[in-house]
Amino acid sequence: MENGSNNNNIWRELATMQAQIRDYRGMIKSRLEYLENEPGYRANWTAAAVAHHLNKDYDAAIRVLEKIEKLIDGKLNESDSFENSECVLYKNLIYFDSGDYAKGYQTLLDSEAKILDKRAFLELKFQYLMKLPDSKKEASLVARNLLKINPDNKKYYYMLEDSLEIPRTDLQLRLKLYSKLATFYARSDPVKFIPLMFLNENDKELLNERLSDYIIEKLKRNVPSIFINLKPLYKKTFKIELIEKIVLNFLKEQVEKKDENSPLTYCWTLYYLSQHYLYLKNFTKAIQFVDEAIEHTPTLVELYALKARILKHQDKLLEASKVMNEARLLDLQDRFINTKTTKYYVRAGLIDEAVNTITLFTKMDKDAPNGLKDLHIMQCCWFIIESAESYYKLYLKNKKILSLPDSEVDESLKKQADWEISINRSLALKRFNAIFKIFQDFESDQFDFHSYCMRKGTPRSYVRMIKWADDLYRHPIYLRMLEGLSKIYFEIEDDILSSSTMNGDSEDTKKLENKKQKNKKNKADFKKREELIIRVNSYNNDSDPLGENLINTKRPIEDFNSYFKFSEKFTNFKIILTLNVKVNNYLNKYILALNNLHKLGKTKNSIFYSLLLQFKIFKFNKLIQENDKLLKLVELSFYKNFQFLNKDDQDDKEIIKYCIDNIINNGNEDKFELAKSCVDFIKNFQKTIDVEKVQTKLNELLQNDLEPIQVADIEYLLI
Amino acid sequence: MGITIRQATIDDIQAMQNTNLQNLPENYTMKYYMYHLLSWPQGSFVACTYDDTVNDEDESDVVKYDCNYISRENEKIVGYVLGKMDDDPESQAKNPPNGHVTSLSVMRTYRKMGIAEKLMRQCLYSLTENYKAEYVSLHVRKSNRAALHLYKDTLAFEVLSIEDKYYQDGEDAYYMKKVLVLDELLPSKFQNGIEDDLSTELI
Ligand SMILES: CC(C)(COP(=O)(O)OP(=O)(O)OC[C@H]1O[C@@H](n2cnc3c(N)ncnc32)[C@H](O)[C@@H]1OP(=O)(O)O)[C@@H](O)C(=O)NCCC(=O)NCCS
Repeated sequence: MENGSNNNNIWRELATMQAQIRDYRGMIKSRLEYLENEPGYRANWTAAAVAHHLNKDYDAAIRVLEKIEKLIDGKLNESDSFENSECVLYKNLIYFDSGDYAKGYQTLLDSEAKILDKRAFLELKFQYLMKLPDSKKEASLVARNLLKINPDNKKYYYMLEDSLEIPRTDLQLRLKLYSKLATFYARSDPVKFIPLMFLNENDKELLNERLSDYIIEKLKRNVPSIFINLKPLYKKTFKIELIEKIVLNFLKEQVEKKDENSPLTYCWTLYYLSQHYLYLKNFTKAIQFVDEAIEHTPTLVELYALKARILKHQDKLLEASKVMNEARLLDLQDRFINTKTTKYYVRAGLIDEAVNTITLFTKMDKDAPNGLKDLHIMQCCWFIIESAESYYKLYLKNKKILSLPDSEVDESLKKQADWEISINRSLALKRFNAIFKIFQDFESDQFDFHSYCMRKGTPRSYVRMIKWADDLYRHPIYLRMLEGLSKIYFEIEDDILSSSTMNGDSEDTKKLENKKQKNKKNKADFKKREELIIRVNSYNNDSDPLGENLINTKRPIEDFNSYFKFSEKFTNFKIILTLNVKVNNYLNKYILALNNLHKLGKTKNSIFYSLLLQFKIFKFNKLIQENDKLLKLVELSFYKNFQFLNKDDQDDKEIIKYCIDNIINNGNEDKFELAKSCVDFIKNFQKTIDVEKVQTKLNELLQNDLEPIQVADIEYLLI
Repeated sequence: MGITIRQATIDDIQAMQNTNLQNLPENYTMKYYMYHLLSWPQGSFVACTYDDTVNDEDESDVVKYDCNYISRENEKIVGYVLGKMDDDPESQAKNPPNGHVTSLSVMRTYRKMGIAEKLMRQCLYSLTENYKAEYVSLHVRKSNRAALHLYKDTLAFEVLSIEDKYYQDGEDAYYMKKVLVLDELLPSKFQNGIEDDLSTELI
C-alpha cells in the first residue's frame, strides 16, 4: 500500500469486485480514485461514468462523459472512432433515460457525425421524435430509413405505423400501407405476414386471396416451414377453414393436372395437410397424409420427423423415437435431426440410446465412452435438463412398478426396477445440479468484462450485460430446474417427516436404503454399478458420479433453498411464489408463506392460488388456535386480498366450496393447467374433504380436452 | 409464426448457444458468446419467431421452458449469425480491418426461406459500417452443400484456399472471403423491390 501505483491497482481490483457484487456506491469511489491517478486513458473516464449511471446518477454520468469528450476533441485518430462512437451513443442513451428529451435530441443531432452505428442512431432519433411535439412525420421518415437497413425487422414496421398514427383498428389503411411497402420489400416476411394476422372476417375474400398467394407460392418453392408460419392464424376458426380449403383445392388441382408442378410440391402439400390435421387433433387424417407423402417420396427427412411428432402427440413415445431415428438415418450429416432423435429418445426414457446418438456430434477424450463430459463442458442445457427430467420420470415409473402386487408384474421387471430406482432419482438430481453449476459459471463469466468493456469502449453493451446477469436466475431453464429439484427435495423431506412421526424410517426410505446397500454388496450388481458409472460420468475426477451424496441429504429443504435463494426476488413469476410458499411451509415460516400467498392472490390466475391458500390454511388452523396474535394478523391480511373470505363466516368450508366451484366452473384457463390444479387439489385434500367433484372435472378434462401426451403427464402427476 | 430479424443482444446468448448446440458440431462456452457481443455488439444477428397475438396475456404467466425462448421479448430464436472482427495482433499489423463469421445456423424447420442469407447480409453490412471491415472471411466444410451454395452463389464469396483437416473430425475446410463495399451491401437492395425514395407518401 505504500507505493502509489500499487495502491491504484487495488482501486481497480476493488472496483471489479464491487461491480460483481453490485455495490455501485462503493464502485463510484473506487473508479473515481483510479481515474484521478490515471486520467490519461479514456477507459477510466468511461468506467467512472458507468459507475454513476448504474447508481442512477444520470447527471454525474453525463458530466464525466462530456468532460472527456471535450478533452479529446480533435485528438482522436482513425482507430479510436469505434470507441468514440460507442461512448457518444452511450451518453445519449443516458440522456434518454434521464427523461430530458429536448436536450438529448439536440445532443444526438450534434454528435451525428461521430456516430458509426447508424442503426442505433436512427432508433434513438425515432424514440426522441415520438416524444417531442409535432415530430411524428419526421419520425416516420426515420422508420423508413431503418427499414432500408433491415426490411425484415417487424419492429420497424410497427414503428412506422405508430409514427404515421394509423390506428391498429383501421385495417383498410394498414392494408394500403403494407401493399405499398411490399413494392419496396418484396422478400420481407413481416410485410406479408402482418396483414395476414390483422385481416378479419370482413375482408374474407381479400384474405383468401392473400393466403392463397402466400401458401401456394411457398408450396411451389418447397419451403418446409409454411405451416409453422401460419400457425398463429389458427387461433381464428374462419381462418382455419379458409386455409384448409385452399390447400385441399391445391392438392386436388395437382392430382388432376399431374405434370404442372413438380412431384415434390405434391409431397409438401401432403406434408402441410398432415400438420394441419395434427393441429386439429385429427390424428387419423394426420397419419394418413404423412404416410401417403412417405410412400410418394421415401427420402424426405421432414416427413419422418413429422410422423414422429404425430406419434409423440399420441403418447407413443417409443414408436416416435424409432421413426425419428429413421429420419436421422437419411441425413447423418445434419446435427439438427440428430438433436431431434436424441430428444425423442430421452423423452421415451431411452437415455443410453440418446447419449449414444448425440455422441456422434460431440468431441471426445480418448478414453471417454461417450460425449457426456463434452456436453457438460459445452454447457448443453437442453440435453442436460431433458435427461434430468427423464431420469425422474423413470424413477416414478419404477416406483409405480414396485408398488404393484407381485401377481400383476413380471418378476424380472420388478427386479430391474428395484435395481434402477434409487439411481434414477439420484441421477436426476445430479443433472439438475449440473444446470445449476452452468448458471454459476455464467454468473462468474461476467467478471473479466467489468474492465474489458471499458478498455474496448463498449459501455452500452456492458450495462446490458449487468442487467442480463441480474436476471440470470429467472431464466426459463433455471426455473425449470427449480421445479424439478423441488419435486425431489420435497419428496425426501416428506419421507423424513413421515419416518420421524413413525419413529424410524418410512417404508420407502428403508427400501431405498436397503437397495443401495444391496447394490454395493452383491458382486454382480457391483460390476453393473461400475459399468454404469463409466457410462453416466459427467465430469473428470468426480467423486459423486451418480449423485448419491447429493441425494443422501438429511436437510433437503435447506439444500433446495441453496438453489432457490437466487431466484427468490423474481416474485412476478408464479412458479417462484408457489415454491416460496411451499418452502416456507416446510420451514414453518408461516408469515413469509403468507406474504407470498398474498402476492399470488393478486395474479390473474386464481384457482391454483386459492388452492395453495387452502393448503396453507389447513396448516394454519393448528397454529392459529395456539396463537391469538397470529390469528389477528392472518385475518387482517386475508381480508385485504381475498375477498372471498367472508369476515362473518370465516369457515374452511366456505373456502373449500369457493375453490371447488372455481375449478369446476372455470372456462378460461389453459386446460392443461387446470388439470394440474385439479391434481394438486386432489392430492392435497383427498384425505380431509370430499374431492369427488374435482375428480369428475379432472376426468372430464382427461377425456375431452387434453392431448394424449398431456394425459400421460397428468397420470404421472397422479402417481 | 412470423419471422423477424434483428441485431443480437446479450439477452439472446443462451438461446443462441442452444441453437448452435442443436445445429452444429462446433460449439463454444458462454464466455465466447459474451466476448463476441461485448467486443462487437453490432456483429451478431438473430432470426426469431414472434406471435404478437399472445402479448395481451399477463406476462409473468408465460414462462416457456424452451431453451430457444427469450422470455423478455416473447420470441424464439430459430437462427443466428455470430460475427467478429479479426483481433489477432499479429494479423492486425499485416492486414486492413477485416471481419470473420464465427458461426451461422438456422433450425432445420426454418431453412430454405432465406433466413441465413438475410442474417449474413445484416452481418456483412454492419461489420462494414461499424468497424470499417474491408473484407470478411469464414470457414466451411467441404461437404456442406447448403452453406457452400449460400456463400458462393448467393453471397458471392470466393474460395481462397483449402485448409487440410481443419475440423476436429478430420474434414477439410474451404477458407472463403468476400470484399466489402458499404454502398453495395445495403440490405434493402436485395429485396427485389423498387427503392423507397423517402419522399412519396405511403398512404
Ligand atoms: C447452411 C444454412 C445456414 C442455410 O440456411 P438457410 O436459411 O436454409 O439458407 P437460405 O434459405 O438463406 O438459402 C440461401 C441459399 O442457399 C440455398 N440452399 C439452402 N439450403 C440448401 C441445400 N440444402 N442445398 C443446396 N442449396 C441450398 C438456397 O436455395 C439459397 O439459394 P438461392 O440464393 O440461390 O436461392 C442451414 O442449412 C444450416 O443451418 N445448416 C446447418 C449448419 C451449417 O451448416 N451452418 C453453416 C456452417 S459454415
